[in-house]
Formats: sequence, structure tokens, C-alpha cells
Amino acid sequence: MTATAATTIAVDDLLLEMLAIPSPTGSEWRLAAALRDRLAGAGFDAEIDPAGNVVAGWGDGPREVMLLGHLDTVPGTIPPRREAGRIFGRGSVDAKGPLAAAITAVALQPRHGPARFTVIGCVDEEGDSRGARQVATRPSPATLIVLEPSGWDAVTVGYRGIVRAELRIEDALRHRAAPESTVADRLVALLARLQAELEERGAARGPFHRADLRVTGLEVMDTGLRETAVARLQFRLPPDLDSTSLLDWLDGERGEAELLVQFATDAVHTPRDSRVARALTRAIRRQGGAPRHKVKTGTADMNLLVPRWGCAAVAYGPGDSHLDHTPDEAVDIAELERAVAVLSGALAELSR
Amino acid sequence: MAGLTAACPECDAQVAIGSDAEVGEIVSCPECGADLEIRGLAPAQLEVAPPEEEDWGE
Repeated sequence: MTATAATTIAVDDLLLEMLAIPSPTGSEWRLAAALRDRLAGAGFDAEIDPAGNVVAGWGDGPREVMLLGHLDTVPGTIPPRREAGRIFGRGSVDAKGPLAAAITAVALQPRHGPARFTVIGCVDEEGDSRGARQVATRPSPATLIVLEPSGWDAVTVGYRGIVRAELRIEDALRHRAAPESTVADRLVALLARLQAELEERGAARGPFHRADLRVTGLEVMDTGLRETAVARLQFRLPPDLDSTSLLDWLDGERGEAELLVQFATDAVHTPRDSRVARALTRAIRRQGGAPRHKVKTGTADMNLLVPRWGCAAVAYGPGDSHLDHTPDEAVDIAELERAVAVLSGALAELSR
Repeated sequence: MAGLTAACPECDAQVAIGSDAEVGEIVSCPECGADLEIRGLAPAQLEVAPPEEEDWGE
């Protein structure tokens, strides 16, 4: 296909095409293949990388602007549809809407200039970021825009870190009427103590700036002779508590419990005056908005990539993130279109 | 508007404001690191930027 002028894509149609292919974490392949073909047909240089990410290039300038979204969604079927000015579907907000907006905006950019654009749809963002780890092996771009729902008139500059771990207590199985506590008794008491201490430490802080512990699973197993209680845990970390320090603290508090750690990444907090943050906020003003800056209590692929690359980075995308992972997930079509205009304006400024 | 500067309201250092700056933009004080919002350009005026909104989700 020859490199010619910009391409106009209808963002709402593109999003509905993407929503029509379910892609819960671990099952992104079909969407990746379809999106690769769709992007190639629209003039992108599109391929699927070894991790299964869709990687699509546009333009040939020396300065790379990377727009990184994710293909996977949390589970749950919401029939994709257009209704009352909104598009419903699992992933419409988190995060196929932001990815569709970015693809549409990039395709509006001229192909020959100082910038080249790389749009990536990662796999496994809702899991352990296997897709982002593959992307991390690439050279750093000059600028990174992570595609997550900040809202069309806001830019996200911070995400908390995360530690996923297990605490396990094993002991001889005793009669339930015996005076000794069970392993589950002792594990629950430990968890309550950990949560109380984190709450006390964070009492005077806002949600982004405090650490918290959520128990995501509890199980008790026995062999008839011995019993084991297992708690699956998710810690979220503020910028002033790194994962190494948290784990050192846990080692000091866990007592008889065994600690197993599956995944850890620290918080990220990027400057509000970076060139990319300014380009987006200017573009928001041009569209009649009053730009806002947000920091989020969740964790994104930005946490993994910014420490490695050190490049300017923000997250941006249409949608209300409070609808993430809910049965009511939907994005306003007008917001989707405004986000395309904002991104297009910002990319044009970043190309100068 | 080339060469604009304004005093940092936190530490009084002179902060350079770019020729293409807009009212409402955030600049960082090179001395104390405070985030400052441009409240005016003629004359140049800076105020401490409001903190970021803290929001749950991704």
C-alpha cells in the first residue's frame, strides 16, 4: 500500500468492531488478528509481536510517539450496541474505547514529518502485563501515551504500584473443639492486623497517597492430618512506598506465615509540565474543556514502562473509569469523538 | 512574549515561562520543584497549582 494522505476512520464503528470480538485476558488472539488486518487495510504497518500484541506503525519521522493500549478486558459479556448516544460493551471504557480513539487520531496525522507513531494493543494488561514486558524490550520512544480512561478533558499522571502475594499458614490438624486456634483463625488475625496498620499509616492521606491491602481469595485445605490456610493478597502502593520496603515490612510482620510473591511494580507519578502533558491539555482547551490532571488508585502498564524508559509519559483516553469492570460499562459517543479531536491536536503539536 | 519570567510564590525564585505558554498551564519551579499554574501572561503571574484529582480505577 502506498504512503499517501491521512485516513479517516469512524471511531464509533471501529469500537463496535473491536467490542464484537470478546477478548478476556488470555484470549486476545482473535481480536489481535482482526485488528492487525483492519489496521493494515487502513494504511498502518501492522504486525503481531511474539507476545501477541498488535503493533502498528504510522509515519517515518525520527521521533517516536508511542500510544499503548490493551486488547484484553476483564470477564463478563455485555452485548455490544449503540444506544441513546452511547456505546455499550465489555471494554468500551477499559480500554478498547481509548485504543479506538488513538487509532483514529493517528490515522489523521500526515505520514511524513518529524514524528512517527506506534500504536500498540497489548495483551494481558489485566493480568501480569506479559504484553507490556515484551514492549519494554523495544528502545524507548520519545513520548509515551498510555491509553486508559482519564476522561476526554483530563490527563492521568500517576498510578499506584501493586504487589500480588500469598500468605500461608500450615499446622497439624486439631479437633475443632480444642482450645488452640486454627490456621485460618491465625491467618485472619494476621490480615486484620496488617490492614489496620496500613489504615492507620494512611489515615491523613488521600487515596492515591496511601497503601492498602485487599484480600482477593481465602482457602483452607487439609489432608486429614495437616491443614493449610492461604490468603491471596493485593497491596496497592503510593509513590513513597516501594515494593521492596513493603515486602521488608511484611517479612517483619508475618510471623509463622509463609510469604510468596507473584508480582510487584512500584507507583509512577509523572510531571504535569512535560511536553506531552502540555500538548494534551492545550488540545483539551482548544476543544472547549477545562483540563484536569488526575492520579489514580489503580495500576497500569505505565508503571512498568516509565521506570525502564524514563521518557515523558501520561495516560489519556475517553470514558468514565468508574464504569470499568461493571455491568454498566459504556462510553458516550460524543466523548469518544472529542477524545479523537484532543488526541489529534496533541499529536499534531508533538509532531512540530 | 519571549523571555517572560515570574516569581515562584513558594520560594521567590524567578521561573522562566515559555514564549508559547498559555494561561492555565503548569510549570515547575527549578529551585523548589513546586508545581505552579500560570494565572496571567501580561503581567506574568504564577500561583501554586491545585493538587491533582485523586480518583479510583485505571
